[in-house]
Amino acid sequence: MKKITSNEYLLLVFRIIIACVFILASIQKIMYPASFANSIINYRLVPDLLINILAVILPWLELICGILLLIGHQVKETILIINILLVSFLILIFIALLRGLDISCGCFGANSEMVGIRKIIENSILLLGGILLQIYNSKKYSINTIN
Amino acid sequence: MNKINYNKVVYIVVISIIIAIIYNHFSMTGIPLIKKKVVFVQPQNYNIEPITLETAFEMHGNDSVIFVDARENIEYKEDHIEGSINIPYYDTLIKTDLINTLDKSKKYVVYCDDEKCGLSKMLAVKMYENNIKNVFILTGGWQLWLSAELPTSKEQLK
Repeated sequence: MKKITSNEYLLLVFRIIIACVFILASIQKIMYPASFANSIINYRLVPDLLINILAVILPWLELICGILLLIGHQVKETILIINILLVSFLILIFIALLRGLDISCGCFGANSEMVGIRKIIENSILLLGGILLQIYNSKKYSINTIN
Repeated sequence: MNKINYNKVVYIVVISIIIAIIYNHFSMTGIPLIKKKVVFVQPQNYNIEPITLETAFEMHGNDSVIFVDARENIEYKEDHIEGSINIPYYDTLIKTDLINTLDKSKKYVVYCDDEKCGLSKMLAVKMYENNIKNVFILTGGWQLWLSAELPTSKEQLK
């Protein structure tokens, strides 16, 4: 099992997929932060004062982490941030489902899928990949770190 | 196993925050960092009715009913419900006159791509908040209308 999960090509695939998902997810949210703020509001969990700050900062964090992950720079550090984000998103979606909220997940901006089991499954798969990358790292086809 | 350099984690987060704030400041679609008052709302809070395809089709062609396409203009141009106007939801975030100029005595049926799309709900709420009370949401949206082979058009209306 360890041979499979630590396979460098499998880890590379996870690294690329997670990176691309985060980069794509960030673009529309960076272009339309007000719309993303509305998506955050819909979860009815975040204090009012934090909504806009999160709407502005989160997409850029996703983009920069996605790019760093894609080029393989500081993979362990970047994937830690991404894993924290994924766990947070999973918790938010789960709570929204428990509350019966019929809302867009806001994952890729306002025109995103509604919250549901599918979103939980998708995020869980990404998180699984993220955990493997956290444990084993991925240096295949990556920029050498300086230090 | 390589150890995590937590200083670098902090560095990445701080750099992201700085870039985000600077971009937001200069961006045309930038928003205030502190939002003082937030009113949470969903269509059902305002009693905005979702309507079925059958109901929408019955209303279609009625002079007092206007269909509103909430998708991006590029999607509207490709094809849309015949006779509908285009009010891209994202545009209403920066241009306030898109909704203000609508005739409040008319009824409006708002749609976007499909039942998973949230744009029609958000646009309907925004219209309601701008005193357009007779607003409805087409459940299933454009994809449902298209699959039922109901009238569509590429003609752009304003």
